[in-house]
Amino acid sequence: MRKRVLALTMAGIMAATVTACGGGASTATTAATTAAATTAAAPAETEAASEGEPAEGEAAGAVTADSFKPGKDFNIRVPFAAGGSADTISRIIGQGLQKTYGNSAVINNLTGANGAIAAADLDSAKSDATELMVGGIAMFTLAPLFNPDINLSLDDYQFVCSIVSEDQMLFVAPGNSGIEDWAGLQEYAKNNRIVFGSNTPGGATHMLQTMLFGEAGIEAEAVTSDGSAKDLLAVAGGNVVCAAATSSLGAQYVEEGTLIPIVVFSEEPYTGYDGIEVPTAKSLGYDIVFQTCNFLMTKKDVNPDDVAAIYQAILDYSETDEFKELAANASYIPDLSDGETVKQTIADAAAMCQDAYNKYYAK
Amino acid sequence: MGQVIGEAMVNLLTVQNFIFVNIGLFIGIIFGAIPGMNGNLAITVLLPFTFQIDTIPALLMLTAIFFGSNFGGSISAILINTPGTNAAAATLIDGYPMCQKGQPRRALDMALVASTVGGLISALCLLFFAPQISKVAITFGSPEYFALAIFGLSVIASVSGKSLVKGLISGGLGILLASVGIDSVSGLTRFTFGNLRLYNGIKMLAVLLGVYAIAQMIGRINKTEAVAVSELKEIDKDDHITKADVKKTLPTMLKSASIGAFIGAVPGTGGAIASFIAYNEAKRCAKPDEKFGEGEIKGIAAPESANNGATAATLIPLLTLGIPGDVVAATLLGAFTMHGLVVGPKLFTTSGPVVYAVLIGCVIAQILMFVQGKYLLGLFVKITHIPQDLLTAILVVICCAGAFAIGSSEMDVYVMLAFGVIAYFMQKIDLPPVPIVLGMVLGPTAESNLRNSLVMSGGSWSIFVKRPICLAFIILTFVLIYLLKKGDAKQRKATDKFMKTEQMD
Repeated sequence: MRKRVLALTMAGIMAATVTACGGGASTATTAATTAAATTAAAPAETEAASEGEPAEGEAAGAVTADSFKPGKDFNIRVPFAAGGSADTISRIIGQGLQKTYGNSAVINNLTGANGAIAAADLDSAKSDATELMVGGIAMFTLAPLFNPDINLSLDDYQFVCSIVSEDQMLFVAPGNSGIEDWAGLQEYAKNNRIVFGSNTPGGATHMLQTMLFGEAGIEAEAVTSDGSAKDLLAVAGGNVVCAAATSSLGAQYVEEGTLIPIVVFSEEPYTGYDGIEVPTAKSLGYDIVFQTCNFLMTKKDVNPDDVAAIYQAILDYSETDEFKELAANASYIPDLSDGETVKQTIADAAAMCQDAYNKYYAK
Repeated sequence: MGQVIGEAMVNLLTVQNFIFVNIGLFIGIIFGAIPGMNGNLAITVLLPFTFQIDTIPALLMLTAIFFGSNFGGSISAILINTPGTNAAAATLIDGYPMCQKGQPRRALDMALVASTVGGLISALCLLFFAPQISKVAITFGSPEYFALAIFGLSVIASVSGKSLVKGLISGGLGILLASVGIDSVSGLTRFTFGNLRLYNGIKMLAVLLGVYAIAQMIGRINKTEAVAVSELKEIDKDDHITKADVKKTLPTMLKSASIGAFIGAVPGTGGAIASFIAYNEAKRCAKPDEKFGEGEIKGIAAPESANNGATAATLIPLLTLGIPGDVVAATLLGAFTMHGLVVGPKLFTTSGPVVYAVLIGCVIAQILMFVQGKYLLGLFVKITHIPQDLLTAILVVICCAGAFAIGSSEMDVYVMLAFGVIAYFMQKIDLPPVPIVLGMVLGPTAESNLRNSLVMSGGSWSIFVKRPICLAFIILTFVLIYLLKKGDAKQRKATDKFMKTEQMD
């Protein structure tokens, strides 16, 4: 009997200790992140000596990378799963901060609820420029519209800079449907149902296609999946007529000749593929402009000078050979616009999403 | 081609690669064996580290972790009736009973041999048939996925124990649990009660830990049931695998490994589904004296060769199409990209020597896994000597830590504890736990693909019979259920007869 009580008490106490660790969200990092920090710390120390040199040429009074002296390690929350492209890019940026400041940059993958969980974790951290998060444009635009429990406000955060933005475009498979351009798709739609591949309602590719077909007066229905790569495969396999995805995801299919892009949702026509100029939705008469964008952000009451210094550090790092090599390996084309631009981009996108929501989803 | 392979061999056969593969396997086995920890976690932990080393050793180490963890999951399934990973859930049905009979080492050895055979076949498929298999995988649309999920769910019939109705209740509960979170078709939230932590659904691994580990702990602390291993039976003197065992199980292993390799190659499936289907198939072919569910050696061989059969095959859609078949493959995708390998149709032409070095490395890793496993099992089997009071306490802590590690969220710990209590009472009314796992794994696949199929067909159900692969799966489902039902009756009769002759002797 005594043994049983002992076992029960031990189990209770030990379990309580473990779960209690989860209470303070800011201190709770996974084994993954801790180890990531330890392993990544080593090269940071050796390279720390070279810190800040590209900032020399700056005008007097301008913020330089080394005007910020971090008091602790960087904690970068990433609301995407480890291994994905957003995660990989975040790690490259983290590597840059680590090299510049000598402090470790811990990447903390906190997935779920379109970034709201990671944002809640950032909210509970102290206001310091080392407490960062990589956000995606959906967390301020689409997510709050579709999920009433998510209410993130742009004004609660300060934006360091964008890190990547990509054009979304519509792909078709001529081999399956015979469609080769937008006019062809319209023609096809007269006699056939349009079934498109996309993520769930509340995701960007669903909204863009719903808007496009809605504006064009074409009846269309979505076959949903959990990733644009699968949507493109569904187009190639003939299971759906078309799908929206980023330019980089479609690249191999386009090169192969299986898929062709017929519309891009940007301001300018897309010329990134050899010998193809993809027309904008605007040029076809539909005012739909949307870029997926990931950015680095922190809490609103962090010292703006520190934020500016971190931005400068990232800009400096982006000039290094190491960055260029890492980016090339990961097929990462950086877009390092400043915080104000990011905020404006999000606000514009939010307004468009709100309109789209009212028109196509609210009912 | 010959030149590429030659170059690949030169790249591969270095001491450095050998060391990193072994490190990867060791880490994988350990992570797999600890309840709640899994290969994906280990890969995530080591991902940043691999950026500092060369491409081939880095990728070899990460894939070795994947293989090792899949085998490691069976260790805790057999020794403490708690699957270390989702894929090991089918292994405990016969693994733990064999351990209880005083043959833990024999069960573990069988798991190791089966994992190696499964892994080898899978790696060879990856090496030689990747393009062909991916061509079949590419034809899988929503209707095929739906049919595959229904086929998988039919396994409930064979793992329900005495009462099929109770099995269906458990399976239904699993499907219901999996519906928590954002609905993958409409985008609306279901059963989240305004809690952001539930948006991504209830984590399967948290439920598994609760249903198996915690429920057992409660039972052990209560000591009315769930008897302790070490108190059960003295360990048999001949507690090791024999040549006869291997000979007897070889056809099962080969068949299961092929099932695993095929299912693993279909994106969005994985080892858990493969192992249940293989278990089902082995049970269907059972001879009268083979008692599945009571420590039958084939019941360990089948799921273990199937889940390792799915490992390397999971890399087929990743490498040839750029589509990660499961969570681990998604993480590996990051590793491949960071090392400059652009996965997709052109990978084999652009990075041939590197890719072939990794693929051949995958084959060699399976053999090294066998050697390493052989030594490690000697240590692991000692777990059965730990006094139950101590083991229970340690396991509760490990499970809590494991549940927390799933998504660095205390929510998963609460989910685990809640399901521990629920499962404890489920045991009291004989509701089998295995169908919950099946329901959770396959429910969402079945649901979303059924709805998507009907969108594709404009609401017509004929889509399921018009597509050949889909129709084949549906027919197979009915045939299997029929054979299982018939086999059950026949086996019962044969067993009775067998018992009678035994008694007469």
